[in-house]
Amino acid sequence: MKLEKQEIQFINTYLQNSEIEFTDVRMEMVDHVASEVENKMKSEDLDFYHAFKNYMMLYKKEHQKANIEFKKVTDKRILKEIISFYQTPATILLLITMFSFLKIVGFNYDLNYFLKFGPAIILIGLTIYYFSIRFYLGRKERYSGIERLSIILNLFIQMHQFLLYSLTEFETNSNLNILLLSFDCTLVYLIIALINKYNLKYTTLYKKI
Amino acid sequence: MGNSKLYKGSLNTIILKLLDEQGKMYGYEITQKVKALTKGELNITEGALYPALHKLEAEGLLDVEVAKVDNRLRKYYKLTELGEKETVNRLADLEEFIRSMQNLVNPDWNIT
Repeated sequence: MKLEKQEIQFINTYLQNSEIEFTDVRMEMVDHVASEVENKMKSEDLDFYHAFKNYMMLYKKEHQKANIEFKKVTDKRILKEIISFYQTPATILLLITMFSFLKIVGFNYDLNYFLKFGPAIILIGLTIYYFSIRFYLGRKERYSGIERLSIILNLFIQMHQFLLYSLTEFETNSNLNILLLSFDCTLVYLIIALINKYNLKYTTLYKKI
Repeated sequence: MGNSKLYKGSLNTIILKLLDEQGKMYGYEITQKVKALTKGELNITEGALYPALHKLEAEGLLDVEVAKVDNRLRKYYKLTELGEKETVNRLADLEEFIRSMQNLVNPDWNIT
């Protein structure tokens, strides 16, 4: 006994309204619930509505629990990737190169505006890129890897704002400002690489079917 | 079931072992297979199974593929090369654990 398309859609909407917001997590749960409902309909001779209701009454919390755990696993995975990125010799070299380059340029040119507004421009650019990818994946579809990255991006924005506003006197060539901008450059590379990686994963797995 | 707590610590190894034998499986299939093999003694809940699968995937031990089956998408899990090696290690660890437990609980028994 196989479920109809509208019955699958019903399960999907129900789970979406039960705080299981990410498409990649929900898709798997829809399949699990549908398999259980089909099994119940056959073994207990029930119609779709009663089989679904009986199952969800017992296991709704289990699905919500799995959803919370999934978010934790996703966050850990992203953090692990960020930490390993900043441990590679190439990233450290890039950071040192950027810092040295800006320091040398700063001796001859006035980098005041560049250093003051550079981090903000970079972060706004990254945010636009992030939302354009989300739009590309589908406005109604929310994917865990892409969305949880926004938390980290937001964290960096807050950190930058805090540092910029907490400086009482903005010094053009201060090491902190130059280091901040150098760090932003590596961050651009990392965030774009991660967004593209997750985008490719989700389009490969879910969009081409 | 009363013995479920005893199985919990070995859930990841059970999943790896099943995937090693079956090639690729989806979540619901794993729960049903475990239920059948343990004669209903172990009932893996969704709240335990999916976090375990996602964790193993994040560790690089499992690979996934998605197929459209019966009007819905189905996510299949299979072992990666690293997963195959890890399965051997974890099964050896589990076997060692069972032997130790057996020696503690009943030294007269013997498993082959």
